[in-house]
Amino acid sequence: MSSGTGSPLPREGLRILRRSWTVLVGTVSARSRPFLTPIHYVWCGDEVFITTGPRSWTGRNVIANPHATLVFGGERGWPAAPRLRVTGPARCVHGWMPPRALVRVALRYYLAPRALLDQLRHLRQIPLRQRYYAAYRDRMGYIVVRPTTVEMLDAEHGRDGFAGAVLAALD
Amino acid sequence: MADLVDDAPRAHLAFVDGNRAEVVPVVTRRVGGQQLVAVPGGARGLDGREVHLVRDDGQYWFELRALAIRGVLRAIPAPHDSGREGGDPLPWFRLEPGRTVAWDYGQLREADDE
Repeated sequence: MSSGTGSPLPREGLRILRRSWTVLVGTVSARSRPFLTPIHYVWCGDEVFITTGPRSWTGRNVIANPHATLVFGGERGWPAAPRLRVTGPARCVHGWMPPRALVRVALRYYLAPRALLDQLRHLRQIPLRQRYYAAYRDRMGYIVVRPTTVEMLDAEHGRDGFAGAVLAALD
Repeated sequence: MADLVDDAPRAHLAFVDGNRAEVVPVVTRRVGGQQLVAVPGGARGLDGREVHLVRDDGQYWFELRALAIRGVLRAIPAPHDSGREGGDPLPWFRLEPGRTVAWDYGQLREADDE
């Protein structure tokens, strides 16, 4: 896996990606307002595939302003953990993800043992989830970000948690 | 969602910088009903800026929860117990909240439109 900038990701960056299940996606609206939301993703080749389509706020923002800032890490009670910050051009794509990315999404978020357990615990809500997705079926899609900068953010553990500083910029 | 308000596993802030979104991890605290935010690693020019603050938790679909607050930052003195004695002081802000959106997919249910 490379950073998309032609440089391999640092070992710590790979570790963050392995432990990171939702990426914080920052975008700018057509009215130049900031927007941030956590979304499932897979890193596939030199691109990050994000599981939201053109009807979401993030999708609409990317259509208006094709650039995204992504932050990985810090989940599961690790507020002071290091982060990986990625920026790059983003595009909103209609339809299904390419098979390679789609398989990764399925394996990671739906078929992994803990994912199956999560769904078993919410069996009665799965039909509601299907209806939620069905409402978006006519405009199904995803977002692709091609990283142009990749930064590791340091963390200082302490009472105030994160104290960020750029450790390395691979741009 | 109360735990996300008071003690979220992670909190991040987005703001617009040169027509692009900047995203930074932040420290949050609620004092007297006010939302305080510290921005480690520098916060030049954030006073008076519109931001989008997101606290979130969860890995798999039904675990996903988040609290997103749009608002404006106002610079304030560091709280007394900000815990940075001896270190560089963090820049602290009060978030003047605007629109707040929250979701918890584990609580997904049929909407009652009646």
